[in-house]
Amino acid sequence: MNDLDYVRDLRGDLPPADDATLDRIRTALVREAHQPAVRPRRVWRFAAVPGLAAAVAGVLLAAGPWTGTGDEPPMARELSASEVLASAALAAQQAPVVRPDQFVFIESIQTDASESFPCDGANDGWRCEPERGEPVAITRRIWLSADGQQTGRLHVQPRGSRSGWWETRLEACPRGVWLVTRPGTPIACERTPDSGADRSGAPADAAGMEQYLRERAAKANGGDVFAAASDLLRDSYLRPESQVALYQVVGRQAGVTAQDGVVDAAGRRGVSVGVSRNGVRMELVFDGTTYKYLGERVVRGKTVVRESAQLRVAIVDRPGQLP
Amino acid sequence: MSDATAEVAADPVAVPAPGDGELIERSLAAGESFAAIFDRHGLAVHRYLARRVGHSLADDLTSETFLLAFRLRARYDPSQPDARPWLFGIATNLLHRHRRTEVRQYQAFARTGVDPVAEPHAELVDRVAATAASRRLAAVLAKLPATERDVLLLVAREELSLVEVARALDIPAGTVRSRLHSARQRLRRALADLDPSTPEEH
Repeated sequence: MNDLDYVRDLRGDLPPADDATLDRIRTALVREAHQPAVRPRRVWRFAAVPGLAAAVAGVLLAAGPWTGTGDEPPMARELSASEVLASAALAAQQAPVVRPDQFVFIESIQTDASESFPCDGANDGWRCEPERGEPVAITRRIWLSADGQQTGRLHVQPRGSRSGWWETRLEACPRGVWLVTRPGTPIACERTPDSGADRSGAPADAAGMEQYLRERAAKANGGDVFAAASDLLRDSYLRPESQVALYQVVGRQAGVTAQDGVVDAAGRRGVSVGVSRNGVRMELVFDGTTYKYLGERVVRGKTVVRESAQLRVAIVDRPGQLP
Repeated sequence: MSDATAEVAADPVAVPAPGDGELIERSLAAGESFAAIFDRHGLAVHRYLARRVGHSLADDLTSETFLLAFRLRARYDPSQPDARPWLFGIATNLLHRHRRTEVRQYQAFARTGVDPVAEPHAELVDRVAATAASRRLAAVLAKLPATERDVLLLVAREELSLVEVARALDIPAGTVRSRLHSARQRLRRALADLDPSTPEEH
């Protein structure tokens, strides 16, 4: 027994904190954490984005209440898709102009419970600890060339892993976006109607956006406008006006409903707007307080099949550069 | 289902629990994620504080530590997967306001053999009379400079490495080493005549 052992043992039999004390401390912490750091400054946004106010009103008009088909899950409380989408439109962020040579950086958490993968063998430095039935979750950082002419990057890492980032280059993909499959396999260029991540040329009015989404849907989404809208929100740069137009169009789709009490892949509470197709509900998720776009979910029954939660979106000058 | 959702699925395999760095980074956007940091380390931080100043003060200081950590979370280096040194550092800083309380308790223990910190819980544990070694130890802890006491307790009791202590207290590792060396010399002198093979003398 050396001197340090004596120190270690002194008061070593002190009982630990009881559960009630820990609960009390935890509650105080959670209360603090739930206070929004910055309240949405709506008036300021109207000033900053001319024409947005009128467009937002359009969302309210366009997205009428929807009565349900019976294959929707019961809602936690009444909340209409039109309210959610109107609020989401209000939250559409003013963003800087993106230059063609820049990159759109998006950091997200993605979870996929729809498939399972063998863990040994062909892993590229992943530390594999398979857990049967547990959703596969990764942290994903992607740098997408704004004009689609430059090499972008993709870094992924199993959530919580310390194995380091699995990094890959995204070769210039002038005709589309990249379809990410699994580590170690090539990343395919998927054909989409336009190149690059910069969609600031997308229409800013609902009629134009509807046409735009229909064209994209016909080429890549089996004609599903809601899916095309989800794609557009996920990995691209949209002007706030285009986002507003997009929410207007989403609100017009048949079968769109809202659901409260949704928790996204990052553990954030929110509300979703979604449509059901063959028992599978595709959802856009918005923050429960600010109505900022958070990400998306695909839900079958009560099971989340796939989800993606955006943590950060920024414009940067170089691939690999963090904002 | 549309093909579009396939794009969501960049899809490697393992799902170990996220590291503290990632949780804290995530909590920048989603504050409530920080609760997981408390769930992981709350008990350990409370224990560290309770062993220094007793349960009732530790309750308040644990709460303060995590509230402060939450407010400072943007400064946390997300590449650090273990938040313990950081949290112990914050807790140690908060303890400095209660230095005199801590020292008085060690002094009382050394004098009377009854530990004021343990006393409220005496009925919960099978208390034995304080050993001569613990009374001498308390006397040494009472006399140590606060900076040496911090290092000694973090290393011996919380089993932080020198590098982690340096991170926790925001001082160079060399300083940690010299403070630990100095504290241990005082300790060894105080404990010198105790037979190391039979430390429990009654």
